[in-house]
Amino acid sequence: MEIFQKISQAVLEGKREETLALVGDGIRQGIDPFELITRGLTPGLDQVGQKFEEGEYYLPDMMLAAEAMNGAIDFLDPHLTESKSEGREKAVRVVIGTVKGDMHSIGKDIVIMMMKASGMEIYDLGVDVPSTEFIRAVEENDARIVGISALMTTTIQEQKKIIDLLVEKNLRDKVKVIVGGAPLSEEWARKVGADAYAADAISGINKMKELLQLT
Amino acid sequence: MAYEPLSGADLHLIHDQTLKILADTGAVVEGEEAREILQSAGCRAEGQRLLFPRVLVENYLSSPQPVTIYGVDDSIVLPLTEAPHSYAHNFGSVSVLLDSRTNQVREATKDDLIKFIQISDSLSNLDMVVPSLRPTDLPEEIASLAMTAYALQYTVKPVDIGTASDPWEIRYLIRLAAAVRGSMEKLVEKPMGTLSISPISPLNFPADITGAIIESARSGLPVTMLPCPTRGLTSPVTLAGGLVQQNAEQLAFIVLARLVNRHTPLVYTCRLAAANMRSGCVSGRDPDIGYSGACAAQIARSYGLPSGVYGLDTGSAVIDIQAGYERALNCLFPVLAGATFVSGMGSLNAGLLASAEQLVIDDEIYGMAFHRKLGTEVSEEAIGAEVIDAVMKGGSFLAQEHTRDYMRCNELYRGGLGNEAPYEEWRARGSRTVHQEALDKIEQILSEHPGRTVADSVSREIELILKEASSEKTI
Repeated sequence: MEIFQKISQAVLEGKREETLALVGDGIRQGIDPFELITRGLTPGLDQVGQKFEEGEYYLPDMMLAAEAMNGAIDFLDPHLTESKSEGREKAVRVVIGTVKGDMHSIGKDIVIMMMKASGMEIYDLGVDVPSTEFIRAVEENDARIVGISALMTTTIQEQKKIIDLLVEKNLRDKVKVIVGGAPLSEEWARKVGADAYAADAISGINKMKELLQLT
Repeated sequence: MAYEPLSGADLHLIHDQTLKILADTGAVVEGEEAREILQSAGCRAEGQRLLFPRVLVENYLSSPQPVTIYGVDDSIVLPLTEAPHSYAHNFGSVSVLLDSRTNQVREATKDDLIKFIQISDSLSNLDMVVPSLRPTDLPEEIASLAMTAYALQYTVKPVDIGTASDPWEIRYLIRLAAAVRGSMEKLVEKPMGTLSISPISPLNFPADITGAIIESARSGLPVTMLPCPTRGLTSPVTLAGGLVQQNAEQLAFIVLARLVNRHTPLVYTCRLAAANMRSGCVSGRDPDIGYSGACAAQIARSYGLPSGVYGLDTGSAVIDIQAGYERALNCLFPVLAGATFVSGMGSLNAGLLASAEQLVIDDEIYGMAFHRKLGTEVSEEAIGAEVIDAVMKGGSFLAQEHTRDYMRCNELYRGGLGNEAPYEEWRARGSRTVHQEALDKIEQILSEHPGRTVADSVSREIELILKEASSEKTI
């Protein structure tokens, strides 16, 4: 149907208002909201991902597309039938934050945008987050992934602290831990006991999918 | 006559838009004392943000205090305001370095830091020592203080007193510097460097940062205002937008500092960089780094402030031709624009790596860029019409006193590193690269360096201060 193509195109072009208007139209026309997502929004985002891989799209293109996508999904959520929204309830839960003493948020925010657009459920702890907060959030939300962001050589030690705490509280086996930030390395990830490391948002998303075998 | 990339109209609009942003959008300012100081002076609160009236900003921009720094050996004097020429210093700080002997990137130790300082002390084109390496074998809570502590003990040159992110650190940095100078009064009279503080871009001054600004302004020591916006990530992607936001961050800083102490000596910096739009990481492979520095130098001069800009930068993670041309290009713009300080010595990979060999090679790059920093003598004597006459009538230039005398007066570039011999001779001497020469020069410097440059009593006092700081942090 033409409307699905138009929706994909609006997402591809990062046009939030237009995407919202189109899905609104779709609802009014009686189209199944689940189909609007799977045949309209998702193919749009897939194309965005492809253009990024090919080097035609960059982060701002991704962000705007993700914003259009997320806006439409927020609008459609209440319209989904019970059975279909169960599918969204089974979404992977991710706890993510930037460690204590560190105010950097951009990488984390980009990853969050894209995780949301991929259907994950995100618990964003913000910045300057004490290690105990990470543990509490993992316990409370039954998270499957913990993303720990640190961008300064002076704050990366917190990543080890958090992982040690997870071990102490018998939570380590229940989650996949990914550490993020430019000063890190594979070696560092091994040293602190993480499952994976990513220097930037795009590799972060890919590594998470790998960890969960969702690719 | 400095290179001026911005026109008068450009400067005017940059200033005007800066005032508009501060007045209409303002900056996030936290910390009770800072908010009270600014609000009492006329700033209006909008949630976490304070709006700065134009009149307030204009008022506190006027009559800037001249800035002069001195060596640890205080006979070395560096006037920063209306400096006779640009000065150079190293970058800072990272905890990993590229060890070219092993070609490995490894963590920096206290020993590496001391060597870096000794090398910096010995390089002829490095004017102020910044302790570039953060040692990983020292207790983490005092690693930053230790950097300043060692810098003060191994060089006679001016020393960057340190970058601090809270008032506690400022107090301890000041104590370390005062220990070397002999007293607080002597330190304020002859500071060996500045205190640097970085707000968070965009336009965000958290409580610890405003506390640090207030503490340093009260001390009377010079303060370097060090915002680090990244175009496309934490500032507008445009160069003009990045410069304006950076300018707004400086001006908000100036207002707070000068409300606390009207005579705070201040240095305006440019660390404006751009993000790679694929990874979101800051790019060092970028001619705009130097170009931004040139623009910022011009903006700073329009406010009567000394500037600190980049400088030597590259995306390369090794010492190679990419590092060579990128660094040379990026340093030339700000040097020609008459920036007060040009930074970056010893860095690689957008400042994520340190390298002692690159530090030595950078001394050569700056040597070339600064070769005619004091200008060129254009006089009848220098021109030597009568020398030409003498040679034309049967002499040789080689045998002229004019040649012998002027040869020793900076007319011929006499660099230390790099080949200038013809190919066969170069080959006969072992086909050596500038990198190999740098390694040799390091060995020579370290074998000849006198070691600690301060008295034992001073070193003991410094150790006590560090111990006190460490125990305070571990309570």
